[in-house]
Amino acid sequence: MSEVIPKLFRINTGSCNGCDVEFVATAFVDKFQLETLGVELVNDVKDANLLVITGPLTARSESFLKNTLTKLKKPFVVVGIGTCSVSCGIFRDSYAINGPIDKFVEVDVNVAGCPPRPQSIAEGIAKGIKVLEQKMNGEATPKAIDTIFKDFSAPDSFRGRMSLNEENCTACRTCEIVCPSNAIEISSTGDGWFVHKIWHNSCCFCGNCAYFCPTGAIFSTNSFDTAKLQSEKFSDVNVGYIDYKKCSSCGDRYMPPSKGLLSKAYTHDDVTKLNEKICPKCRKEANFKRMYA
Amino acid sequence: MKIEEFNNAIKSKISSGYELKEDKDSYGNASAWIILSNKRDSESVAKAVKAYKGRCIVATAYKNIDGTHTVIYHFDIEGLIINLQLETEDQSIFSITPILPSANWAEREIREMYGVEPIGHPDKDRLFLDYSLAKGVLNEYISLSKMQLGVSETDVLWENVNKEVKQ
Repeated sequence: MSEVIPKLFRINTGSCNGCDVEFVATAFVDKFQLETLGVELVNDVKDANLLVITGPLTARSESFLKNTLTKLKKPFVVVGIGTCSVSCGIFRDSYAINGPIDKFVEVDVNVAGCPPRPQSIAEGIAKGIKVLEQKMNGEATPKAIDTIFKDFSAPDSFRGRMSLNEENCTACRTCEIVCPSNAIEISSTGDGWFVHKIWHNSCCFCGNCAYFCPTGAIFSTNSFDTAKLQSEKFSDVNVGYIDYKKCSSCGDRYMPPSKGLLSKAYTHDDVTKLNEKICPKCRKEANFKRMYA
Repeated sequence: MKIEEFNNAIKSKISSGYELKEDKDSYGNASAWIILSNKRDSESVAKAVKAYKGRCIVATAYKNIDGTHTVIYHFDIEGLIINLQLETEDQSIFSITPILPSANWAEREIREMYGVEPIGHPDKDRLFLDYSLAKGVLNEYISLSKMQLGVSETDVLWENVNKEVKQ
């Protein structure tokens, strides 16, 4: 087994420079431990075997990327940094965007984030080096690699990966509409459930969904462990199931009021009694009978 | 610089009539709107602006519902804003860059974004857009509601996500 010296070369494919600034911080601040991996920054792509790509791949940068890739010598590893490089993020559907980069080059590690924290970038590069070692020794790429740097602490107010409290959600689709990067999708299974999906690799961590959510069901956690292998690109999803209840009286489906809404409307604790497993129509009828019959 | 003074200067030079409107912003700064009935007269207005040592700040364009384009030049003469509005049906305007060099980039931008050809422009190279993109990209109308839900009819990436995530 030979010693692998990772030689890193960075390409910007039309990025806003946010990821590049974070990358510079990762490379030059000791605390992020990049030099413990033995990474060498090179200024010529011919020497590189670890390629870091930022940006959504604009039409203008496409030819530059293709030209650079022809100069690379195999084996090499590609680490995509930033939501743009993974799924184009907020720039998806734009006329000037030809990405994401995995259309043109085989990506090994994706680091989502807008921009990602330096710890995530260091983690992504560490995973990339693991893949590079395996490629150099002729082994197959594994399905998952354990986290290498375990320190992922962030302040509580940090906007990290979004999560959903299923009990509060009423599948009103507000979050789906306000999401600028199309990271949320709500679909119906057809048999009494709504499925709420947050795709972390498309999320730009703006917090718009949490801000507009009327029941406070969707919220940001302070977790930012977003460095994932390419095989996990489409499966890194937060899935929530929302019960589309059956009325115990008439049998029709109805969306019960969420606990979040009820706690806003009623200050006393015993609000579950108001939610008696019947649809609003049947409840009105029952109330009318109770009062006037 | 007064609006009347500029109006007197262009009155005799414009051949096919125009409409003059005066406007004021919330700070009390005066601005004039000159709405031309023939786009050819933009050259004589530009000459008058040059005679007063004015400049072209920027130009605006948009596509109307009936397919015609409206182009508005914004001139500045000693703090007075003069907006010159003209309509074009055949996606072409007469370039004022030979008279006012400050209109150079504004006309080039209108050319690539809306496909409105500035006739007589000295340098028609692309300014921002890549050569692989068709010119007039902003001519396509996309409603805000469609924009919010994603422009493309099929989202390949989300199809992949739905394949991976079993319900």
